[in-house]
Amino acid sequence: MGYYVRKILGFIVTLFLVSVITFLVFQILPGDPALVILGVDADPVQIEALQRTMHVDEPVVERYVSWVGSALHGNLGISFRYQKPVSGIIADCFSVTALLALFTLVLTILIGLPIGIWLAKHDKAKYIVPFSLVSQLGVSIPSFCMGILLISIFTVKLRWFPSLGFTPWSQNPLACIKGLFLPSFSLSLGTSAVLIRYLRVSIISEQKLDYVRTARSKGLDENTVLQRHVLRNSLIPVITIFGMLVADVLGGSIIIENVFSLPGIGKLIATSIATRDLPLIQGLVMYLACIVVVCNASVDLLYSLIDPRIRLL
Amino acid sequence: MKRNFPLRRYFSNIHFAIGFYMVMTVVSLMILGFFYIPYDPNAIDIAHKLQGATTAHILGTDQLGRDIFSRVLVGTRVSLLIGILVVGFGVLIGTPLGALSGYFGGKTDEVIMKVIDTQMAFPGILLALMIIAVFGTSLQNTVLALGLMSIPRFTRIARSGFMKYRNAEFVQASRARGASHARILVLHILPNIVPELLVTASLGFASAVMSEAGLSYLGLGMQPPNPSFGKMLSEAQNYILQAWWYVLIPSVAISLLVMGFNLLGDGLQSINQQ
Amino acid sequence: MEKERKAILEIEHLHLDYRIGGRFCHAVHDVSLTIHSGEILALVGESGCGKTQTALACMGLQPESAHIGKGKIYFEGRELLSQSKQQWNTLRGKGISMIFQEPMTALNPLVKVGKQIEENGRNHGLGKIQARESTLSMMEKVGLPDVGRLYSSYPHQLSGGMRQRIIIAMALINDPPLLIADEPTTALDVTIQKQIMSLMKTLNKELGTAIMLISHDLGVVSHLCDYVHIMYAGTIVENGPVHMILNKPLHPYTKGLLGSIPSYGKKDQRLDSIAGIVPSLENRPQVGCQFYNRCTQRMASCKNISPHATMRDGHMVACHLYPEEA
Repeated sequence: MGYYVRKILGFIVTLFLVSVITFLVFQILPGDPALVILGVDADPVQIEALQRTMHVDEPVVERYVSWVGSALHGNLGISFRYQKPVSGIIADCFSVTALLALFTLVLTILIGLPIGIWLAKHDKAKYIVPFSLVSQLGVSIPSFCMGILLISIFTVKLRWFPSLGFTPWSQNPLACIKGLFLPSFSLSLGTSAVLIRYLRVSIISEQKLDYVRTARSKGLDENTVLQRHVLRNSLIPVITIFGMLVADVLGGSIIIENVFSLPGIGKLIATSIATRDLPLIQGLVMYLACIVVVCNASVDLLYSLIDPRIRLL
Repeated sequence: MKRNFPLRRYFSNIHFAIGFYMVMTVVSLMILGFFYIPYDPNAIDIAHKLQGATTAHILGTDQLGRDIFSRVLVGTRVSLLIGILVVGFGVLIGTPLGALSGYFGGKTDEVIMKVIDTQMAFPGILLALMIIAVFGTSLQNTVLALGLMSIPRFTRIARSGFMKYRNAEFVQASRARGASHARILVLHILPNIVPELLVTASLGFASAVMSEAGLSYLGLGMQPPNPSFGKMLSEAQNYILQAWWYVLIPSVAISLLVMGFNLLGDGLQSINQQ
Repeated sequence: MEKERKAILEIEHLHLDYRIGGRFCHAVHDVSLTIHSGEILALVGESGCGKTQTALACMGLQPESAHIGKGKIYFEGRELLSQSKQQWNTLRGKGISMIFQEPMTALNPLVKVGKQIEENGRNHGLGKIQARESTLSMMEKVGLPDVGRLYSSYPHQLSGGMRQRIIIAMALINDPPLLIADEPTTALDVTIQKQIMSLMKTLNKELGTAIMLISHDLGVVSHLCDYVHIMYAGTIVENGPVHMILNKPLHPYTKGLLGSIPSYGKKDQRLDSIAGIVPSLENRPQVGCQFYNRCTQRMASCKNISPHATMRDGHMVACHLYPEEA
């Protein structure tokens, strides 16, 4: 039990720190925040209204408490630009980003898992050096460069994929997949390179453990040993990587959505910064950070479900 | 024979060697830019817009007829400058934090690491975007935002280094001689973790270049008309149909820099481990 | 007095080398031994003497970097080293089973222990229900309590002694003619050691399983085994029936090993130990006696001439102190 209590406490502390950081950054606006947001020649009535909604006259701690309080009730404020609740705007965009992230993770597994296993099985220098260079390419070419290159080849030259934009899954699943393939593929190159590296190392070090020899001494053939014993155990450390990859994918989607003009969270962030829609930005940042924290916590949970030893720690 | 070439150890590592030449390619472009730039990078010449490579413009011209090669020369300067500043920021703030955390341990360590780890919750360039949203776009703010983002990697590496050495014999010996904590931290332990910090700096450089390109791609980094690779890329994207090379040039430049520093870091790491 | 018994395992002139720095280094050098059905044979020597390597070669589990140069291994008359992978797989766990030194790490931490025992049975043709039944009865046979509950526990929930019992049950579920036990008690407490050793003795009597027992401790095995082979730096230096070796050790190395066993009789005596350590693979002399550097009775001839095995007082010894009778 102690394990879960500690995990949940850590989870709560992290969420708290995330909210504090997000809140504070928006408090250190230079000058009068209302003026900064609305511009110097704004209507004084408007400025005063804004100051009231921002509670500038209250002490910082009180403002933080009321902000978090309403955030916990799903109220992240009103967007300046859209004049709509921030939470509603985020909810509208979220499905696009969620689908993009999901596609990317699926592609990451489809690319990373077989290659990682193959490389671990064929642990020879003549494969490792070329692979590590190729994987460096995967990690080093920024996903937005890759995205634009993919657009210019597959969309513009070959016309295999539709031009920019997003079709909701409910409207036309096939068009949805087609529209999301290139962006998720460009994101998944980097993540699968990371997955492959970790998986390979994990499998190779797992294979050296005593219990694998025990499994062999039962007369199991190599494939059974790999599937029934090695693979399952070596996936455990890889699960941790997966938690990090979720953060990578969400971070990457901020830019890639702009490259492919996908109406998701990332696109929303860029436009809200351009229009200085501070409540919306604050809400978006808080929202994304919470998703990452929740994902990491779920990964921890999953970890303990798969590995019976963890619960003892 | 081998003595004559002390760097042989480094260059026999294929990652280091390739990374080194990639970085050197970019650096020599930058140096060239200090002495010779064929055209004013911001000079507009609509009559000659979006031209392919010609003898007059060896990398062609952009949508406003500006010479792409000149813009690349200046762009490398910006990328490298931001990389250096960001890494410097990260080292100067991240290393002391990690040193305190690793050397003293206990509550100090717990608090510092909790704050540092919280940063992991802000995916990708989100934290930088938040800072830029508040402070506005400028070179200083880009450096500040990316610098803050790069702190954790230095803190973590310094922490594990200082933790490893805090009870080492040579540390205990100098403690017995009455050396102060500050003296031990800076004179005795720090030199031992410089190699690891170099690796981290190299990888941090790569990620700073990549993030900067991302920010300026979104229009939130260097402001026009000054050239930067990310901005060039986003402008080029609108002209994919007419000028594919225009997209390729900034992509290659960014990837070359990022990959160069990543390989350099990887190579240094495996050399350290030998 | 020697009864005519069937030879289960015969190792003939086994050589096992590792390539280190472009040169072959012997981990096992010209080892021959025979185990008969139902007997317990101990292979004794310090760590790094090649005992485990010899055992692994019998299972075909030697590391990939190992190279078996010369030698033959016969199991029930069949040559093993020329077998196909498939044939090895049918042999392991059914013909020859092996248990390993570290009960803490020899089990897969993520699989219920019952399932791990069962896997060996299923792999060698037992049906689902049958495998489960023999698993439970085998667990009882090795002295585990409350087998129904233990079946679905994970390795980390069990003590070292219990895990070793699980491993023994796993090894014996298919009733193999030969069990190789590689230091089965080294990682355990002394009291548990005794229990496990007597369990092995009981199983040997009840099931008739021949056992090759590997140990670095002559004291531990002496109560258990019928034959002892003393191994040093890849070669067998002395072998014979256990009482002969204990009562009349010939080779200086055997004497050293015996001298380092603490016992009641030697309460006030100094506990002898052999000075130095086993030379590592790349530092072993090409010719001469391997024990030369550590031997208290070394002679000039020991350095340059490899000793040959000779029969003395009913057991075999390879040492220049006991020259071949002309």
